[in-house]
Amino acid sequence: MNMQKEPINIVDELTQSDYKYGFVTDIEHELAPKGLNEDTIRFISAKKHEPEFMLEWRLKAFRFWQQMKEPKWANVKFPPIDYQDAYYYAAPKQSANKPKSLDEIDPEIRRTFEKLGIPLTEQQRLAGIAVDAVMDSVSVATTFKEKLSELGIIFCSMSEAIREHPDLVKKYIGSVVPYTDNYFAALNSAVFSDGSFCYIPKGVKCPLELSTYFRINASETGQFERTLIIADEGSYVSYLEGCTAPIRDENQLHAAVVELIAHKDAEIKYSTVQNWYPGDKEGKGGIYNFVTKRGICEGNNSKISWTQVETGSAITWKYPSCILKGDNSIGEFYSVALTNNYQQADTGTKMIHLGQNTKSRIVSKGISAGKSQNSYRGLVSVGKKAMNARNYSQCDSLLLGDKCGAHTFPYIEVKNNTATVEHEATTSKISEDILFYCNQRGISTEDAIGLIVNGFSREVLNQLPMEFAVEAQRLLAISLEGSVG
Amino acid sequence: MAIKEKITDYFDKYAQSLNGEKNSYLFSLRKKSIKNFQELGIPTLKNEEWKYTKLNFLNNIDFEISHSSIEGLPNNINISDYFIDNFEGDILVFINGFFEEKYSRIIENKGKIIISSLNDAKIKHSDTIEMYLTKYTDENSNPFTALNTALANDGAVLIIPSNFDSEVPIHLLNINLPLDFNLLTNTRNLVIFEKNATAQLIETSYSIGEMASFHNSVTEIYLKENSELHYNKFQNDSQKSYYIGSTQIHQEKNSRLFSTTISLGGKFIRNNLNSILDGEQSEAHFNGLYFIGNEDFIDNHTLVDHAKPYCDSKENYKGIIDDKATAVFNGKIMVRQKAQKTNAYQSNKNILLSEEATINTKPQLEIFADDVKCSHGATSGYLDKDAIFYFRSRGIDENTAQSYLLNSFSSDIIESVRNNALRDLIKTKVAKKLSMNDLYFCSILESNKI
Amino acid sequence: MSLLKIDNLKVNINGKEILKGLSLEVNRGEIHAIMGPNGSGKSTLAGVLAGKEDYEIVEGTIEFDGRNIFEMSPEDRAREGLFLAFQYPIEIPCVSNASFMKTAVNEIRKYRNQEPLDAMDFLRIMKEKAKLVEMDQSFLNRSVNQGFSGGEKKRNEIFQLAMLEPKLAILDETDSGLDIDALKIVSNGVNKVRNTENAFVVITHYQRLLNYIVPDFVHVLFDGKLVVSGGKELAFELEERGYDWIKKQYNSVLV
Repeated sequence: MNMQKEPINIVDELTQSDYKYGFVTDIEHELAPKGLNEDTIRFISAKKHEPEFMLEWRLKAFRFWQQMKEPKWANVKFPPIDYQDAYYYAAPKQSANKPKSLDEIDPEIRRTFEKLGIPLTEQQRLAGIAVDAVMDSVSVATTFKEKLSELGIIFCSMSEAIREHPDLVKKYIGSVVPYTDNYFAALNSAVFSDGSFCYIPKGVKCPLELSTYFRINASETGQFERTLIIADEGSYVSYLEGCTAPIRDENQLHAAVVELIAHKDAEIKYSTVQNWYPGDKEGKGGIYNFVTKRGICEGNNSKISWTQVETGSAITWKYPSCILKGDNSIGEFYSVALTNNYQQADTGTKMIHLGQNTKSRIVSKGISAGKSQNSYRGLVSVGKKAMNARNYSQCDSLLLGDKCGAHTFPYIEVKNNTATVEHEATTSKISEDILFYCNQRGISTEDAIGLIVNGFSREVLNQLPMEFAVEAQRLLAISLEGSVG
Repeated sequence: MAIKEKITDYFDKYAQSLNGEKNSYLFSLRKKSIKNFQELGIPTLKNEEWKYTKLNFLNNIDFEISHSSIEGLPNNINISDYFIDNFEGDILVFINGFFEEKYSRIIENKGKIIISSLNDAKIKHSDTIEMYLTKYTDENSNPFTALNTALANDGAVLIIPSNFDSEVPIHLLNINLPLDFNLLTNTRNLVIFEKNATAQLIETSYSIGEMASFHNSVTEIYLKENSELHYNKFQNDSQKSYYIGSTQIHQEKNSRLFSTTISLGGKFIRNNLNSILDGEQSEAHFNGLYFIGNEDFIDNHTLVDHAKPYCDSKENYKGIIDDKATAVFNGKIMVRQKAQKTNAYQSNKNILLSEEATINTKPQLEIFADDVKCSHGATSGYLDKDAIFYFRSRGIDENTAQSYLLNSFSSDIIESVRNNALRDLIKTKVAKKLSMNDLYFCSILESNKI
Repeated sequence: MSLLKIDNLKVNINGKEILKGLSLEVNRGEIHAIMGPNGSGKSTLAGVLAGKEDYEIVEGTIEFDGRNIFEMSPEDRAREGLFLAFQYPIEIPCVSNASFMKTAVNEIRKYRNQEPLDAMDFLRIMKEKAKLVEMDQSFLNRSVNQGFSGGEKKRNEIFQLAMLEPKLAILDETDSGLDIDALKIVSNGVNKVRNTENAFVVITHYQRLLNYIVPDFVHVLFDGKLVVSGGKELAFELEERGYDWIKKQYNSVLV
């Protein structure tokens, strides 16, 4: 007669949580014909009334993409993707003419975002946060636009930016992530449908958190959004992004590109809470999240900071990176990646030190449970001219159960002898001994794991704005939640 | 002719020259391997295992494949110059990849352990070769191992019997003499430690001559239950030497491996050191020091493969890189699902002495078990400025201060070399590199760990 | 009603008999010392009481405050007021002592239908209790037991004991590995916590601890049973004569 729960059962139970955002909104979609060819691209460009330069750029990217092969180096496994068997453009019907005011939004869409915790009406909008809500291929609403424009801040959907601010777009799009960069960046450049655009003028400290909420709703579609943030001299912006998708048996592709440009003395803080549908307990369905995110610290004394909490997606493949070109510029990367069931994550960062006295800091926390595989892959590169560059990297892994894996692949390339680069990594587990010790102090197993996971992730969660930190903490708990009797 | 075709060509001719041996087990291995080599080809930088390792020399230099032993030595060459000073142990000399008994010195262990050349062992110990050769080597992924299996003429076969326990080391000394043409040699060593055996093994490789030398060496080591090996590689070769050496170790229960690899020079060095911890409570200690300058290139690739539970591994590599030299460290710790209660530690520290020196380091952890303690760390930097300042404030100039600090940086690795004679030789060479003449003072410094 | 009542407890580990019919009764306000040679089953007893796994209960009953302990999970036993000071306290990475204790205290309060303590009250109590074992403030912010010396870990156990105010505390070889100063601090802490409502079972190898935590009863655990019981003088006798006489006496009985 043994009252103890087998530890393996605890882990099993913990991995049997449910995805809370898996509902489907029943609205009509306008779709591009299935498949991918030059006509698809012309269709998308025409739908968006884009200027000629944009279409040409898309076509160049598409032709380049056709020459490329899907990369194989990441530590992830998935069946071949049939790029012809998906829709590349899906828009909620009503939004063909984007409503002028927030209150005109299709109530069905509004309810969707309310369910996701993102109220879009003028009365209910979140205080202190301006939201661009993107459903499938298009932006459906942007809040606080007028208030921001008083400061000269441009915050709108990418489609709108291409129409209204073509010079800025032309100057910066592809300047950090050229379409030649990699397979998925090329694909994105060809077919991207929407995304957010943000320009902070000289000397302006953006008073609101800017945020984009991405929602995939339609089936058999890929989502290819493109985000471009430019912080002009001496400006500051904090930007947040969140993502969810319905539960579907199929795998859906999400291949986004994010480009950040920080000019002299500017600072961009970019936070992501990624909660795409991760697939079910047997590993069926879920989003393939293949994302290219990169920022350049163009001017001296600029700073780019990436923070990510990754709990969703069947496969995550992303490396938010910083090119530290300006002297004294700073790059930061804070990440918590949690994988459960059959999820696979291969994520990390690249810190490219080019300027003098550049600094970078990497804090990566990987949590693996179930039968998941969690990899950190990072590059710290110090160029010949990067005098006194400094990097500190820390990669910690936490394992729950004995069927998951944690992997660390740090690459360090140093070509300057005044540089100091430090990398540390540890692996630990939540052992039965620890759980029993907590139980003996009256703390249930579920709470004990929550306590440890939060402690483990604290350094990263602290980087998030308050509202998001609470949300992220909850998300981490939910992702491991089960029942403990 | 490109190297790949040249090797294929050579192999075909070699195969034709064989008579009875064609049906031998060894030849069947060779055939498989040459096929592997042809399929794998010469790796490019796109190959993850060779990401930082340019193999241009294979295309730029026209190598002849060594096919026979030398007929005599030039007058000005004295093989004993390459012996370790004050070395008390057995020395097996290989010249151009062939065992040379007359230059060797086998006294101490004679009759106690089986010492043979691969050429002899093919006949006398064919059962051993059939049982062990290529059992755990990376024939299928590493073209140089495949090349070695296909072409190696000779090498050492050592069988250390059960309960053998000796402090008398065995030194495998390979000398390439590329006198008239650029020379490629392949040597293959097979070392078997029976139960409870303890022994020391040293490997060195030199090239003499104006032409280029490429030595491709593979050593397979089998450590049976409760055996213990102290394994040292010492590399201090010329600007004409290219070296790729792989050591594959298989460890059974309670076996202990202490490996130290010291590299002080050579145009191109690639050391692969792989150990499979395939028995409970086995342990592996990997130490390494690379201290290179000129335009030298060194690449240390290590793999500790934890396949069974309760094993420990500890890895400590340090590098000092000067001039236009480039160093690569790629250390992988693999913890398989069964290998619970693993303890694995890895550290790689580097000091760049010049503006044009480069270090690429990639310490990897791949963990599939959950109840493990693993950590790794890597650093790259310059000497501690405060420490240098401290010296200077006591009236010691910066260069001298640097020498002392570097000497102390490298001392724990050097101290891990078991054999006194070899350790003294390394200390002398390192001191010379640091222009430190006062060895006595050095050793005081070391002991005080300044 | 007694606080703890163990009746004819038989426990196996991996099929091997460890406890072979142990009985013990502990009342409120009492301190019981359990002594015995290595391998006699002392730590098994502690583990069974706290609900550690790997034990097979073959026979017997344990009642804690009138309830059958086998029907309770480890955390519920803790919430009912049973505390084990571990022989080898566990290191918990990433979780500070303070948040660990805050969670534990509030979980126990919730179980007892009490309001959770607010942060200020909690801090005040925590600082107070930390003084009992002369623990520095900085301890509270460090990860639980991580990087602690042996003595610090044991002090931390007594600090937690003081925080959770259990009805029954089992000290499993809390004295082993402690130097005399640390031993005094730990004992002092225990003495300040004891009162007429709670009870202690002190498992130890050495009489030394019992100079500081004075027991009302001393039992000798040998071969899975309590074979001799007495007052505190029994501890002195054991210290002087060792366990051999017991071994002789009881082995002969067994034979």
